[in-house]
This record gives sequence, C-alpha cells and structure tokens, in this order.
Amino acid sequence: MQFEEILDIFFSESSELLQRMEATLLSLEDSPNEPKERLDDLFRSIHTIKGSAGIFGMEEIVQFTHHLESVLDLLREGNLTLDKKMISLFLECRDLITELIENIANKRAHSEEILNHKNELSDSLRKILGGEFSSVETPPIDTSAMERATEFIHEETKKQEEKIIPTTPELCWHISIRYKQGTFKHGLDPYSVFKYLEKYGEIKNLFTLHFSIPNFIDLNPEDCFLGFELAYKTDKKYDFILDAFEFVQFDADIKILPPGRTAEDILNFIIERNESPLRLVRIFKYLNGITPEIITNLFSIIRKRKNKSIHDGEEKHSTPKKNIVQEKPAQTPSTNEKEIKKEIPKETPLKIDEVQKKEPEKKETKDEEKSFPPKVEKSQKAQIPKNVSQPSVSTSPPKESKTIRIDSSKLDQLINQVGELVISGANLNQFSTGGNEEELQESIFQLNHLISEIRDTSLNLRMVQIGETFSRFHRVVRDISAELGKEVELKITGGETELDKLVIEKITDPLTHLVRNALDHGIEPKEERVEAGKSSRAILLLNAYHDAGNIVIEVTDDGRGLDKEKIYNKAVERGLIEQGDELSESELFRLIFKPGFSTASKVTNISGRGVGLDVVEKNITSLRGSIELFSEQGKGATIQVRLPLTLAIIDGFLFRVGESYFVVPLDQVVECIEYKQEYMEQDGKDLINLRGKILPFFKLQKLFESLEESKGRKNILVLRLGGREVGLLVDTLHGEFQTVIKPLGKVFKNLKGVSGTTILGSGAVALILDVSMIFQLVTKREQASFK
Amino acid sequence: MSSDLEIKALDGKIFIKFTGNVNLYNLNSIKEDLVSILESSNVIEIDFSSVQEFDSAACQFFISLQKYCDSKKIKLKLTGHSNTIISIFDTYGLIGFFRDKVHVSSDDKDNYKFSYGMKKFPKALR
Repeated sequence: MQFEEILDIFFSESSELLQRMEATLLSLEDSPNEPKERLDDLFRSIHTIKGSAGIFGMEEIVQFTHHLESVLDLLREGNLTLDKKMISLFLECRDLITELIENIANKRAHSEEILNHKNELSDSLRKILGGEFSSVETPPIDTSAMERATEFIHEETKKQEEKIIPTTPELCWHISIRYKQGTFKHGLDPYSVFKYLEKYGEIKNLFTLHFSIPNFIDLNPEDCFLGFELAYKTDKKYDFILDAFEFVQFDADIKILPPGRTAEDILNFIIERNESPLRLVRIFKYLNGITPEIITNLFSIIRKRKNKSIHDGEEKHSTPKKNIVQEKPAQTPSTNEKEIKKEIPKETPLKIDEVQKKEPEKKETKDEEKSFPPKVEKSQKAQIPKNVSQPSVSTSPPKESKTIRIDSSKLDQLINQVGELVISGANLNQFSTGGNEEELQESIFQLNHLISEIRDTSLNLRMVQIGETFSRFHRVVRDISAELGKEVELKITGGETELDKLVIEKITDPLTHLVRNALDHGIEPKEERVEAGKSSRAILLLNAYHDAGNIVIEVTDDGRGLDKEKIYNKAVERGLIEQGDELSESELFRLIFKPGFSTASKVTNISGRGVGLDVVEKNITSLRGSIELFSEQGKGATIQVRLPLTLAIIDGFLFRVGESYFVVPLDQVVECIEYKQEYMEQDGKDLINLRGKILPFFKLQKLFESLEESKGRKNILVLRLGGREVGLLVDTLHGEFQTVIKPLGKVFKNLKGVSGTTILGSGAVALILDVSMIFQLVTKREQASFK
Repeated sequence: MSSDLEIKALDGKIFIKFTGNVNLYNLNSIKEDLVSILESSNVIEIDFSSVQEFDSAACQFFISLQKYCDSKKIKLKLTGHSNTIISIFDTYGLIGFFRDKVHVSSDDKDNYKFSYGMKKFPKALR
C-alpha cells in the first residue's frame, strides 16, 4: 500500500471520529447525566487521532490533541467535572482539529489565524489542567520503558505461543547493515561484501537506505552514510553469514534475521535499530520479507503494549509512551491494521468465531422447514478462494473454521457492484487499446487484472460445497428405498465441489426428482437384480466435479438402464416421432424429457406421472445448464447435469448480426470460421461441410425477424451443446469478453432464445443468446425437413 | 577543475562527461566542480560512458546529488552507464531510484539481475 493510501485512511478515519465526537459533545450538552461512557468515547477518539497524527509527523495536531486528551482523561476519571463552558470549548477544539486536518489533506499551509486560534484554545485547555500539562517533545532515551516493552513482549509471546511463520514466497535471511562514517576511509567498500555473499547464495532483494546521506552541498564524499536491508537466500547458516562481514565488522552494525522470523523477532529488530518503525516495515514489505500476518501481529503487539502501559496507571498526563522508538510515538491505531488486513478488523459487529449464537440472517428460508439438519450454519462460509495460496499459519490445531454470517442480500449487492465494475473496466479498455502511452496501458492492464480478481473472489463468496446437499439424500434414499422395498446404498463423491449458492438451491428439487426416478424406475426390485446376476443391493451414486467452467452433477444407478425400444414405441405412440424414424441414442433419450412422456407402466406417487423430467429439464435450462442421459440397458443409467459455475457473470463471446450485438457463453463456442459460399451444400440447405463433417447452421434472422440480412463478409460461429455442434451465421466476431448478466425485465420473461442482456463498454446492449434454444430450433428444422 | 571530467554548457543545459574513474579518491574534487555549476542550469546531463572505476562512495555521491536535484527541481539525467556502473546500481537496487534509462546489450542482459530496483522503487521510500 502506498503512503497516500494510508494517509487517506487516516483522513477518513479521523473525519469519522471527529463527527462522532461532535455528536457526543452535543448529546452531553443536552443530557449531561451519566457522562462517563461518552467521556470515555471522546477520550478514545482523541487518543486515536493523536496517535495516528503522530505516525505521520503532524506535530501541530499531536501537540494540540495532547492537551485535549489530558483534559478528557481527567474528566473520565472523575477528577474534573464537566460544565457547559467546557463543552463549548471542546466543540471549538474539535472544529479546529478538523480544520487542521483538512488543511493537511488539501496540502494547504495553516493560516496564521488558525495557528493563533490554536494557541488560544491550547491556553484555555492548559488553564483547566492547572498547569499540570507536560510537553510532547521527544524525550531522551527511556531505557526503563524499553525494558518494560521487551518484558511485555516476552509475556505476550508466551501467551500467544507464536510458532514460526514462514515468510513468503521463499525463505530468506534478512540482513540489515548500517555502515559507520569512517568505512570508506578505512579502505572498505560495502560492494565487495555483497559480491562475496553472492558466491554462496542469492541476494533476492536489496534496498539501499539513503535517508542518512546529507544534503549534497554539505556532503563530505569520503564519509559513509550508507545502510542496506536485504533478503538473502542461502543454505549457509548464521555464523557463515556473519563471518562474511568479518572485514567490515568494526565499521558496520550488522543484524541478521533468520528465514523463520516471527513478529517478535522483527519487533525486537525494530526496537534495536531505533529508526522509524513504519519505514522499516515498509522496507520489509518491499523486500518481500514479511507476511501480512506478521505485520498484523506486529501492530497488535505494539498496540497491546501501548494500552497496557496506559492502563497500568502510569503518569496520566505525561508524555506518550516512547517505549519503542525515539522518533515517533509507536502507536499504531487501527489505521495501520486496516491498511494491512481488511478482513479481520479488531472490533467487528460480527463474531468471527462460532457461528451458532447468531440468528441466521439469510433471507432464503425455504430449506428451514425441511427436517434435514439446518444448512444455515455452514453455508455462508466466507471461503478463501482455492486459487489463492495462503501461507500456512500453523499456530494451533485447526478449530472451527473462521466464518462470518453475512446477510446474503449484502453479497448480492456486492456482486452487483462488481458487475458494474466489470462493465466499467470494459469501457475503459475500449479507450486504451491503440494508445501509445505505455504506462497508461500498464495501469489499465493492472486494473483489469484486479477487477478480474475481485470478480472471482466475490463470486467465490457465494460458493458452497455441494456435499451438504448430497448428504441430505441419505435420508431420501433411505426412506424411499424402504417404501419400495429395495435395498439401495447411496455413494457420494465430489462433495467438496463448490457451486453458487443460488444454483444449489435451484437444483435441489430437480436433483431430488432424478434420485427418486432412479430409485423408482431405474433400480429393479431385489429379485430381478439377483436374477440378472447383480447384487441384491443396488448402488446409487451422486457425483460432482468441475469441468471447463461448469459443474457436472451425475446421478448414476446400476439398475436396469433405459429400454430403447420401449422409449421408441412410446414416442411413436405419443406422436413425437414416426415409425421408421431413425434416431441416435442421445436423441432417443432426449425424448424422455418431453412433457407427459413416461414409459412407466406403473404410476406411483413418487414418479411416473410424466410431469417430472420435463420440469427438471426446464429448471436446468433456466440455470443455463444442460442435461443428458447415458445408459446401457441392463447395466444402469447416468443422468448428467451441467451447470455454469456462476449465474451473475459469464465469460462470453461477442458477435454482431446486422446492427445488433449478441453474446453466447464462451464454453459453448468451439471455433469460428469464415463463411464462404462454396461451403454450402448443393441443395441450398443451411449446411456446411466442416472438414468432412456436416454442420448445420442457423441464421439468427429466423429467430429475430427484425434483423436485417447484411451484405458483408460473414462468419460461422460453431457452438457445442451436449455433444452436438451447430453453426451460427454471424456478421462480425468481436471475441471473448466477460460480461455481467443483467436479467431481462418481467416484460421479456417469456422471450424465447434470450436468457439475459449485458451492457457493452460502448453502452450498447447485447442480448445473451440461449444456446439450447438455438439447438432446439435446428432440431425442429431438421425434423421438419425429413418429412 | 578536476581532470576527470569535462563540463560543457549548451542550450542552457549542462553536459558533464567523466573521463576516468569516479571513486573515493576524486569525489571531493568532482564535488567542487559540480557545486560551482549547480546554480547555472536546471538540466544536467551526465555521461558515464568512459567511466572505469565506480565504487560505493560514488554511488552514495550520486544518490545525494539526485536527491539534491529533486529538491531543487533540477533535472538530472545519467546516461551511458558503463558495465561497472550498471552492476553496482543493479546490486544496490538503484536503477529505479535514478529513473534513467539504462541501455544494456542483449548479450549482457543475463549478467544482471534487474530483479529489484528496476521500476519499482517505492515512492514511499524515496
């Protein structure tokens, strides 16, 4: 994080605190009884602002707030009584602090008026303190305080039982060198030491400290003011590294930290170096020698120590504890913590530990009526996306995973916003391609990369493991198999496969139906099985896995499989096909999904009514998924459901037909070819010969009548769905592009062929095509043509 | 005037070319020469192409000079980095600090790490 960003956090945090102070002061004015809590609050706010200001070297604020803090301290301890005059004074002070900070934020110098006003107010505050105040200038080294600090750290360490946290990404030694002024004059050159070190290892990163080098005009070039911090990777041990500095040992102050350094090690190092801790931490970060966890721990330790010394009741109005560093008060309020780790703020309204206590806040309540164990507890895990490698923090044995309960509408809102961000990014991209500014290009590239990451991360937040849903079926299988008098064992694999929460909810019903179907019709009664040479105990397998941006869920049984003849006859009976029609296996199986189709000789209350599978298919396609049947007669059957991993954002392929833009899901696109007249089959049918294969193609004009037929060059976009390929005749191809799906309004709900819309970077609207619809239309056309 | 450098003024810019070594032994006299011309222009271009020896003291010297120029809004341009200089700048992570373009032939590229200090000298640590 850059300095400006940290500064921004300070500004916004202070602004909040100051607003809060104003509200508190006004409330104290109105109702002055029981002021203790509010006074505490005021004290803490000022204390925080003072500390943060100190870190950034805003001396005038530190000094001023110090007085205010002292007065507030007296008040909250009850050693002073609050009166109206004081409140007015405090309000004035608060206003002044706000002005001071604003000036700094806007890089304005403080006007003389402000400074005079500040002095006036300081005087007033001092009068209240009765001259007991003390200044905040840098005191001389307080060794006893340092000792106390070290002591405290040892205690804390014992308590925290911190184990060694490896640095990322590689385990490197950290070497810190400060050369003394006479180094050059003694004939030594730091460079030679580094050359030596490079023979026995690798300097992964090196930072040259230039902060002590004097102004050029005053510089004596023969003096040495150099210092270095470096990350050194080697198999050699500590002694060897130290020996490398043998020649310079009298001219250099060397500190070496091992690869497995803890926060305490680093803190001690910072204390010993006696330099700006913020700068040293920054250097560590720059060298990649510190993990975010260590930084958090570091500031946490520092802050605890700071609080402890306050609560120990040491000199109330005295100087801020300069326990660590002489330059600045080593206070690190939540500003810096926030800088590092936004995920685990110290005070959070949501408990990060056990999830049981809170009422489930999720709005989706459908499942709570079921008798299954409530899935509410685990399902809103803020899961760390799998592709982000986490440094293993092996402190204590893994207890309950850290979870947070989130109102799912908040997640939806977040994803919505991310969606807008994605569109914005696309918009920006439009203006960047073709530009010459390399830095701008780089920035935009980075930005888009970050947007992608945020998109993935936030979508991941909605991902839930399917295992839970699967395990519920144990009950279903048990009950139904008992009812039917069959022995069925349910096996589950791939339970850790994750998919979008919404998708899980929507497929639960269809899945249930499929399972029931398998149990009812697929699996034979015991005797039949034994007769067929199978085990009397049937197996029903629920499997899930990821495949090319989709999740695949399979329901497999080892029952009797599908009877092709029966299906064929039934289809003829129903008029779906004609006797003599030739169908491929998959086409035949597809017939089962027709409404009202059922070959069940017995209709049970479980299934067989024929109202099931077509509804199942509809549900699946409404999720932009697909369903397919595989079967081997006598052996069993598998129903395979494919669903996209997420519903909100898709990676699509953009193309244009006429004046309109369309998008199809990228994983349904096989290839693009140029459309040449000679590809067409002789009899004018919409077919082309693609490398020996016949590929039917489809003109969108057939679906959307208003589309004009353009004259220019055309292309064929080859789409694939469930093993079949169909071409789509389009004008211009615009390539891959990620898009946020905006659902169609209610008016368009029944619109066939379009499953959503998206907004392009240019602001134009593109329609997201429902590819399965295209396939169906092609099928219809083919069937019609056979007649 | 030190014999190790030549100073030229052209179009309001100052061009300095070093002709020998730049190290602890002549930095003092180089400094004298530089100080005398620092006031006269706000663009200074330094040519290192004939530099032979260049040590850590020289590095420190130019770091200080760069900081000074930054504060006085003088544009300091370092060019013609010899291999010695590139090596030491590379090790010290200073290439990003000086913000000058360093030209390295493709044969030599593998001799240097350029893995740090190249572009990413953090603003916060300037």
